[in-house]
Amino acid sequence: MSNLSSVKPVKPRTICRLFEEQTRILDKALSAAENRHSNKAAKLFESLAEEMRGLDQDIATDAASMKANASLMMGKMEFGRNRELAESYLDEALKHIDEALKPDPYWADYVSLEDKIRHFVHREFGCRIARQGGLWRISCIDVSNALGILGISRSEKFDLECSICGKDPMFCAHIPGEVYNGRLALEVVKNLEIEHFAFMTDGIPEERHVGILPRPLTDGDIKNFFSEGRARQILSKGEMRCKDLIRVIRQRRLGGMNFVEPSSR
Amino acid sequence: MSIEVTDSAFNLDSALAKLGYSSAQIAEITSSDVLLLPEDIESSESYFSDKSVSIKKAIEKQLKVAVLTRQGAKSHYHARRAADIVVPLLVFLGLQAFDVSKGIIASWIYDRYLRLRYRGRIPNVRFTGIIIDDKRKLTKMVTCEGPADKVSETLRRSKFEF
Repeated sequence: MSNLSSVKPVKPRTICRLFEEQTRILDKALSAAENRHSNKAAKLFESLAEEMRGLDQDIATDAASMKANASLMMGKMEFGRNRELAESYLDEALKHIDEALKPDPYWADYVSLEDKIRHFVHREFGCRIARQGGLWRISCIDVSNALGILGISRSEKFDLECSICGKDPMFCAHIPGEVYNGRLALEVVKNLEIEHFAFMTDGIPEERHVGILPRPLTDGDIKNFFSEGRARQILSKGEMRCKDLIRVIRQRRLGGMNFVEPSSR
Repeated sequence: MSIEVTDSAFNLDSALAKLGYSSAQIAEITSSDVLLLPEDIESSESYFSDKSVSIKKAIEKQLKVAVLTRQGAKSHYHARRAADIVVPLLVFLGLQAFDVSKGIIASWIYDRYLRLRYRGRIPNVRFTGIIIDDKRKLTKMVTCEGPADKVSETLRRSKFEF
């Protein structure tokens, strides 16, 4: 688990093609980040991104990684004083890192940064569950796990491709999880065919991030689960976080098939 | 928790012939320490468990591993996303190869146990290996099944003498 202070800004994938002046800005930005001068670091990363935009197409696209660093630094700075703003900066950082990953989806530093920020945001703020069309649709598997909803196993056929060399990973020298010239070796699934799904009543699902989502909740559920005051707040805002829901599920020991079947209410 | 060792009728030459290997290829294959077999050697295409890649890469850090496939056909993978751990079928060419591999396999099982244990429940594991010892003219099947942590420990501590 990462905390925000351990999430470090990344160096750009195209660093070898930057001019001396730009690498100087990068060094200053990284040093400011290291010394926790977040605001200064953010400004330097922004200015580097601007410089990179003026270069060739690949470097210009990679400027998004420096924008991600800038947003990350702003998120760090705001985290202790304005959580809402910090969250929006971190969401912005994720958007930029997604953009930077487009030319090379396996660039290890970017994949790792995205993973760390995503986990941090989910753990610290929780994902948003908003009321739409009178129902609260939940797309967070952690809520399913908290409710003890049956896990699923699935039988599937597929091919695998090494993210580094494109060969079948069984026959190549790359080790999944290792980094080769900046790129992360992964087993990439191709030609997936799902043969069947099975519900697991007493087994342990291998993948806990894949499963059955709970049925949508109604306003009545919100009133039943939360205290009167908290329910009123949630209903008037039209939004809650998965963390709030998980907390109340645990406190009230909610769960059972009622959360899987379509609501009859 | 114990490891069961029984005589096996597994015939490597016949398995290799079924998969379409030539005599030259067979000589190369049998110089390996460990062989990784497809799920079904009779099948027209080779299917491997998705766990095969990681176990192969773990063992080949110390030993020479050959992956047997249906010659001239494509290879694919198969996964059952349940927590029971089924170690892909491995053939050990010599007792020494098994002795070295069992520690690696035990660590591999333990690693999966750490990832899969959930709310006090422990995943089950099934390990089957075939040891072919030409010097002693022996072919033995080794099986071990039970809670992952116990299988890992049993396998690690096991000592065989035929």
